[in-house]
Amino acid sequence: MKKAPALATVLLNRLGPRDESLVGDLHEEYATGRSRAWFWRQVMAAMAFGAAREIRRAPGRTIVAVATGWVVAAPVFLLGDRIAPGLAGFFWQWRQQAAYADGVWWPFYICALLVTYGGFGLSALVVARVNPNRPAMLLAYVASTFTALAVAGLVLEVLIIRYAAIPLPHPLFYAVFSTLPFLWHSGILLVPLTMLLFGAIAMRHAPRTA
Amino acid sequence: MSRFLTDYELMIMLAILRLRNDGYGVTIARELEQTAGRQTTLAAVYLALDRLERQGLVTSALGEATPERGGRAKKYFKVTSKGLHAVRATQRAFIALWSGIPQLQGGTR
Repeated sequence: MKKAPALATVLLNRLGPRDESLVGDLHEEYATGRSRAWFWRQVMAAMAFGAAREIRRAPGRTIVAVATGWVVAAPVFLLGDRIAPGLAGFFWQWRQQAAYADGVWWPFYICALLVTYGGFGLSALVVARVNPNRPAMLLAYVASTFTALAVAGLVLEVLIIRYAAIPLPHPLFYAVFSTLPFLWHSGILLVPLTMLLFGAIAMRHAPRTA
Repeated sequence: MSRFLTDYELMIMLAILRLRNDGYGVTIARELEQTAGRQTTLAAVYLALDRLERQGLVTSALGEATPERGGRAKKYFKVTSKGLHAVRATQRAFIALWSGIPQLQGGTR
């Protein structure tokens, strides 16, 4: 029998809609000769439509999930400025005062990224575990709030480079630049991927319900 | 008063009726593609069926599980009498809107 793409099947089983008939239909149709691209398209659509159905059925759960995601991630981000220098010092004997003189910041950047993405991963793990029935949609909504801030950070940075000034109120500047360090450089694409990956890991042993 | 169906819901209801109230996700999607020429995804079909079922316009029953489905059961759909009323009401509304438009008289091209 023709075997469906492994990664797409994993995503469908762990993060797709909990609808056995739909999953069965996808496998049946793929076995009749549909392409791998067709299967991937169907899996992505299943995840997206499952998300739409879930928010329509339980909008409150989405709001709670987004709040949970932020409550878990925020302390990591807020402590990131303290944890990252410590980690960089531990691994590479990096010192912040010395970096101002010699300009060597890469150990700090690497550790800051690790801490930041650790925060996303932890957030995804908790959101997926707390909401085992429809994790993909909820993770997508949590990730989209992070990504929106990453885009805001990128826009701010472009404005600063272009006009050499901050044309926005201080609280927004603080929220984007201080609570999400280094996010705007790498986060636009990597945040959703990181959250889906950690969500899939969290759902590995989760019980399936109808 | 029956509620009106969206064009996609109407197509799905007609596909189920064309399949003699014996359609499931795959056959309904094929009917939409082959007869109506509408490309769709199985997830979109199920999303619409879920909505129609919650409104009592269709009912479903689990069928047999086969090896090529990974042992998962098929879900067969049937239009209810309330669903049939909704199809007729939508048909009447479309026909009423259709009539009296000179550009749309005489053929389907």
